[in-house]
Amino acid sequence: MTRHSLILYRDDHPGDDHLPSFEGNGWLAYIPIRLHETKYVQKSLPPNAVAVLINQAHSDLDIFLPVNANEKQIVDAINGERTIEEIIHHHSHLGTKGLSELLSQARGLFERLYNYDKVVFDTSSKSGDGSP
Amino acid sequence: MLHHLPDPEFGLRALRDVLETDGAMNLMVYATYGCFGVYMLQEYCQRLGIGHSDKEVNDLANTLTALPPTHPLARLLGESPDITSIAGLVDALLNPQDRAFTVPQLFALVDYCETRFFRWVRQAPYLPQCGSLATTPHAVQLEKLTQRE
Repeated sequence: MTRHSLILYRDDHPGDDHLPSFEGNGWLAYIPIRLHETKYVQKSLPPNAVAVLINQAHSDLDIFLPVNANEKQIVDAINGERTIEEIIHHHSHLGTKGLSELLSQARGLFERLYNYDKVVFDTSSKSGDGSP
Repeated sequence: MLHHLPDPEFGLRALRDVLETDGAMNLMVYATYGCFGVYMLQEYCQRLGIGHSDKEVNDLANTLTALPPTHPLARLLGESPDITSIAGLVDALLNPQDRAFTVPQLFALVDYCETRFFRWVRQAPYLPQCGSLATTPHAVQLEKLTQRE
């Protein structure tokens, strides 16, 4: 990489860091927002993947995120308005998985989506305990 | 353009002082290792005493076409819009004030200027769990490193 781009606060910035956390249940209240430079690729897919998500702003070609059919349905439900909880409940009507299995799958998926620069989260409406 | 200031620390501190307490800033600086080819050519230009006249800059641009494709600058010339224009070339190779940062140096700058790191604008390239490194024998050791390392 030829440059570092980062977001900074003042060191006396009030409150917590607003960094997304997938501990507890607070993450269910996050609103995922897809980054505009993210797109699906549906050629030369790895086994079990129905698509690969790439971020066109990445110069490293090895940074891609394969998703299976269930995961793609969840990603497709991201509209910048629904919370993760709403997306999961919407998705739970589509599949046969139990809610706890779906929550576990969704937690891993949204953490990967965040780490791989496919989404950011609006955490401003995060509730106190984030109970689903 | 903190990296073109004689004192980037002074510059960042000045930005920090006018930032709202609950505000955030998006900062960009050059990266030491990725810009390695640029710094090789900066040294080359300094050794030859290349100046900013149109002839000198055009001669430099023509000379760069002779770089082998394996030269560290060659990839940047092919990819970076910043240095494919004449103005960009002057800025990249003939700027007398240019300081790049490694990740640890950048975190030291952030600390020194009483600012707090929130996140990389694009973070996946910095995370060992993303990309092909995650499948190497070093993956577990890499994940144990702190973000600053």
